[in-house]
Order: sequence, then structure tokens, then C-alpha cells
Amino acid sequence: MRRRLILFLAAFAWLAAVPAGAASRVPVQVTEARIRWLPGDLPMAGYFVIRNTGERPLRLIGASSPAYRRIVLHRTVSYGRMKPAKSFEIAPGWSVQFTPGGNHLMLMGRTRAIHPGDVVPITLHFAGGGALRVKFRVRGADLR
Amino acid sequence: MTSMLAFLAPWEFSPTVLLACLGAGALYLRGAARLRRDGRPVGAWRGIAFFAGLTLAYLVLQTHYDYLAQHVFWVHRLQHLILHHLAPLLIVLATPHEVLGAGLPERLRERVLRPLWFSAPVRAVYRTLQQPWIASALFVGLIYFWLIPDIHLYAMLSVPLYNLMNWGMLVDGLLFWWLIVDPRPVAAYGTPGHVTRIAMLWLVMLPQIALGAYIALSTHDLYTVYGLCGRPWPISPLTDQQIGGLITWIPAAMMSVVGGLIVLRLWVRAGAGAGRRWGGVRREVCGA
Amino acid sequence: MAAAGGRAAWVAALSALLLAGCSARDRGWRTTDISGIMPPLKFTLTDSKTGGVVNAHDFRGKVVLLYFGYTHCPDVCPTTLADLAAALRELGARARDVRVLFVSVDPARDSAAVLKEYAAAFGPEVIGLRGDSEELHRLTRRYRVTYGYGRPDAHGDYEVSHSSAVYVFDTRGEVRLLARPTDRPADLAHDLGRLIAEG
Repeated sequence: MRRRLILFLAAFAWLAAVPAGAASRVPVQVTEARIRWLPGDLPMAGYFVIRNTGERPLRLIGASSPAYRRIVLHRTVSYGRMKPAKSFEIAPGWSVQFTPGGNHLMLMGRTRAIHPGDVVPITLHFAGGGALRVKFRVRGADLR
Repeated sequence: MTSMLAFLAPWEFSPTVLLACLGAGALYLRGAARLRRDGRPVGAWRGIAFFAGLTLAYLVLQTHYDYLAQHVFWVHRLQHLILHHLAPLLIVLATPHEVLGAGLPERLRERVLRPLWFSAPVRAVYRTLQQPWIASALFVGLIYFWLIPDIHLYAMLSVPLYNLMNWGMLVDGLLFWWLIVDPRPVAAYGTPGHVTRIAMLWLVMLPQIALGAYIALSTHDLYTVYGLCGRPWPISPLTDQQIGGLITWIPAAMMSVVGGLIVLRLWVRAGAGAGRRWGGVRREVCGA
Repeated sequence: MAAAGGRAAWVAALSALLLAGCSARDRGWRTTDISGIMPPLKFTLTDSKTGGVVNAHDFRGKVVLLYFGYTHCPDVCPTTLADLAAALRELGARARDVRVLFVSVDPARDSAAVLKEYAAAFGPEVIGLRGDSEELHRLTRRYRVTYGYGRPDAHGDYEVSHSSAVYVFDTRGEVRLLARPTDRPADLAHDLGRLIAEG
């Protein structure tokens, strides 16, 4: 009886875990995840390189984090000019770079004190419901 | 209303522009009044063309339009379309030299300006500049020169160079278009023949089309100075460049077509009114 | 004869203009040489650190870098300032003869306190300056730069369109160089080193 309950619970847990696992198993590789720290409540920028390791095109549609109230994807179109971007298409086998002076995550309204050296989790959201939690390292304002 | 007035206020006050425009306007009015007294009234359309050209030149040089022209590439191209093509063409269409001359104090005109104008060095420079091929080369050359990206950067940063560029455009525009629409008989005054004028218009049109198309179709930012100095409203550099290229390309080329039509009209009139004096009998010839 | 003379004069004048425009420049500078093209440094603004009024005279003897931006700019301004900071690091101890003036074009949001902290984050040589719209207008017009504000979004945030040029003045306050965001910090450091050595 008890074994059955355990089996049942295990099966339930497995079933429950599968969709969640599938959702987070987005075939991407994220490297160089970092945040440029700025003082006060100024918006910061998050940078990373994202590579689609899967077979199908992916679309990055947003990001969220418990450490920030609002995160917007930005595409810098020229120096002195940036533009909110709805999404970023990543073709299979290709990378998209989020680097200083280029694309970035605009991180607004910090919910807690953040200092250089901290690690902040940010979840990247993809079209189709996929998500990926990435640890971003907070670096100094003079990050390049 | 107040914002309109603020827009009309000079961005960078230039006494030269103000005095040149006011002076030219006053001379014209004075001259027209004098000619009317002498029984040689000036046609109304000439006055309208003259003041329209003068006002256009003033507006793009001395209002907040100039601020926009300093910071947005396509506004700058439109400024040059007006300074180099439209305003000078309107001014010379009015054949204003007679009226302006009549507006001058007689002593100044007869004792100083006339001898100066007919002095050998001035005549030599004017004759040289007004040789059809040199005038055409200068007309196109100035457009190309100021659009060399490095030169353009310095011109937009330096106030004296910027003023030199704009004044150069206006003066060259007056010289070139006067050569095209000069209504005096070709044989008597040694002005370029009508075929030559049409050839000149065609000659300046092609390089303008080529340059305009090159700018409009470029996929990278050729004129970085606008990004470096900031734009007054968010417009993407390539959109700005494409509009600027189109202005250099299409309306500028159209001005050659307009010029061509004027030359054809002069040509027909020259045939009809051969041997008549060019000044006072114009209306009659038109009506014929 | 006279016509030929006129033509020669004309050709000479145009060539001189061309030469003045192109080849008289670029005497070994790695950023853009704009000596004599713009007026010497002149401004009156408020130093966000001390709260006091400062003018160009207070920076005589220093090589001055002038840059316009706003603190709510998450990417472009900090990237430029980080590049400038990197150039100063390459200069080592000589960086004490350099000042970076970060002039806010968004004084409505950039309070002295915010600006002070922001500037300090990039190094001790970086000074945040702010002024009223009249002072700002005079300075930006003098250096032929401009700025504009985008429409605020639902959160009240707005974009500011601003210049990206960094103007470099020598120790006497004369304009010398224009550094672009695409210039490498090493190249800027090289040129700053030369200006410092000139004294």
C-alpha cells in the first residue's frame, strides 16, 4: 500500500516535472552573462551571448528577474540612439550578441540593493513558452 | 503663434545675411519705384519671383530652420536645394540686375560700381566663371566637394566653413542659373547659345542623379557628423540618409528639367522676337 | 590672357580649399584632429560633486574631455564613459592631468546627487556637470551638438537623443580632437598622452 503510494507520488512527480522540464530545456547556450552596475536607481544594462544549439529557429521575446521590476529588450540602432525590440530571432547554429554599444537588456527598478560582484538571476523567455534561468554577474560601471 | 515666431527668430544671428537680404530687398523696391517714375514699370511677376527667392534664402539661412539643417542630413540637403537651385533660379528669373542697379544711389553706381564691374580683373574672373563648361563643373563640383564625408564633417563643425559653404552655394546658384535663364539675345551679349544651355543642364543633372542615388542607396552611415552631434528628434541615420539622398537625386534633377523648359521658351521667343530689344517689349512678345 | 589668369586663380583657390580640408590634418593623431575648427572651451555649469559653479577657467592646465549624455541611458553613455575610463587607465599616473566632463542633457531627471554618484562610478577624473536650460543651450550650440526628448512611456520613462562625440581640449582650453565612439581606447590614450606632454 505504501509502496503503491510512493510509486503513485513518484509517477505524479514525474508527470508534473516533465512539462516544466521540457519548458526549461530550451536548446540554447548563454555565455558571458554580465550586468553593468550603475548607482542609485538608474537602469542597468545586461549583456550576454546567446547561441541556438537546436535545430529550429528560436525567438527571444523577453526577460524577467526577481531583482528588477521591469526588463526591456533593446536594440541600439546607432550611437546615441536605442530602440525597444519586440524580439530577437536566433537561427539554428547562430548566436546573437548582446554587447556594450549594441543589443542589451535594459534592467529597470531594482527590488533590492545590488552591488558589483553580486550574482543576479534573470530568466530569458522564448516564443512558445520556453524559458531559461541565467545567472548574471554584476560588474563595475566601467565594464567594457 | 509664439512658437512660430520663435521658429522665425535667427538661430545663429548673422548680420551679413540680414544686411544682404534687407539691402537687396530695399534696393529692389527703390529701383522698381524709380523705374516706374521713368515710365518703365517692372512686371509684377518679376517682383514676386525676386522676393520669393530672397525670402526662401533668408528663411533657410536665418531662422530655426538652420538649426534643423545643422543636425538633420535631409533638412540640410533641402536647405542646399533651396540655396543652390530654387532660390537663385527665382531670383535670376526676375532679371533683377536692372532694377537693383536703378535702386542704387546714382553716384555710387556710376562712379564706383560700374567702373569696378567693368574693370579688367572683375571681368576676367566673371568671364572665366561664366564659361559654360567651367560654370557647370563648378556647380556640380561644389555639391560633390561639400559632400565628401570628411569635408562635410568639418563644414558642419566649423561655423566659418559652414557659412562659406552656404554662401558659396547661393552665389554659385545665382551665377549658374543666370547663365541658363539670361534672356538677352545670344548674339549681341555673347551669352551661351540655347543648345549649350540645355547641354549644361543635362551635364549637371547626371552627376547629381548619380550622387543622390549613391547616397540614398548606401547601406552604411556616410555622414557620421549627424550621429556625433546628435539629432533633434529620434530618426534613424539610414532613414535620414535615404531621404537626403532622394532630395539630392530627384528634385535637384527636376530643376534641370524646369531649367530646360525655361530655355526652350527663351529659344522660341528668341526666334519670334529676333532683333527686338530684350527689356521693355517682353510682354508684347509673350502675347504674340 | 586675363581669362587664363582668372582661371589659374580659380584653380589655385579651389586647390587651397581642398588642401585645407584634407591633408593639412592628420599629423599623427589617431582620433580626428579638429584643431582650430571650433571655439575654445567656455561654459558655466554646476559641479554635481561640490554643488559649486565651475567654468572653463577652472580646468586650465588639464586636458579636458567634453561629453554630453544622461544617466538614465543604460547602454550608450556608460559604454562611452567606460571607454574613456579605459583610456585613462592606460595613461596610468598621467591621468591626473585629464578631466572628463560629463554634461547632462536631461537635468530634469539628473539631480546633482544622481549625477555625482554616476560620474564617480567611472573614476575620480570624471565630473558630472549640470546647468539650467539656458546654460546648456549655450554650451551645446557652441559645440554644434543637440539633443531631444522622446515621448514618455506608460512608466514615465523617456528616451533622450543626444550626441556621441567626445571633444578633447588641450591644457590651454583650445579644441584639438574629436573622439568617436568607434575609436579604440588605446588610440585615445595615445593622443591624450601627446596632449599631456605638450603641457
